Amino acid sequence: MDNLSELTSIGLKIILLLMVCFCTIHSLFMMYHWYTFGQHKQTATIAAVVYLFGLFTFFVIMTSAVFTYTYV
Amino acid sequence: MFERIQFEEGETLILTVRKHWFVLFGQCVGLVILLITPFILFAVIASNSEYINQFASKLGGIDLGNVLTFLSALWGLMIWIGLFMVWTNYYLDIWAVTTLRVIVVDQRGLFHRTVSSFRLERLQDIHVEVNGIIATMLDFGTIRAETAGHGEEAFVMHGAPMPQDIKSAILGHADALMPKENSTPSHDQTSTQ
Repeated sequence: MDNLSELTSIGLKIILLLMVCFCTIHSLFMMYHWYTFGQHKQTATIAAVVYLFGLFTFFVIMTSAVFTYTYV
Repeated sequence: MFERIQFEEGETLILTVRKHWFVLFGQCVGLVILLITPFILFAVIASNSEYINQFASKLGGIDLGNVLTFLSALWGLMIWIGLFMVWTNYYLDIWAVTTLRVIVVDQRGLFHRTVSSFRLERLQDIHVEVNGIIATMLDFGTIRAETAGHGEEAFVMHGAPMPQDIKSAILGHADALMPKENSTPSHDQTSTQ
């Protein structure tokens, strides 16, 4: 049963890593669209700041959950 | 965006139309409810910690608190991305009306974008449809511009704000482009009948 706990920890780390890769690529494409096709650069900048702040917050929560994971 | 569109000589931008804010609001409300739901559930579950401990012991000592926190944040992250995808579609969907043509930008996804335009001389008719109590009160609806050409193309924008004003602006400029002898109120036939 200890293996299950360890596997869960490894699984969470893999999911976190995949999400970091996915979100990095996706964010770059999305912000490229805002700056290239958007009407105002200022709107794109505000959206980018809010969006990245949200992403950062969720990643902090996920990372702290993964690295404070304890084997009971 | 407009730096990329080549304006013709004497062509000026009259107005740009983006969907009504309520359309964006309607799409976001559902996502926000989905965003906060797991956090509320998690708070409820966390308040019954003895049941969590019992459940966790059955799962072989998995640190359930951290797993639930991780999954909630993962869920929130997906919804957050979804919210900004909705906003991107809203922000980049636009009708630009110039003195000579209407440029229609339709953003359907991150990798699906169509830019089309029709000259005001080709415009045959514009239909405006306002459907529902909220749409009537907030003054938004669907605009459908029909043009002459192969297969009689129609350009549609759902949830356009003040559709009657946009219709009047487009028809006003289309009529101004008509030769004087043909400037009978052809476009207003539907409204005068």
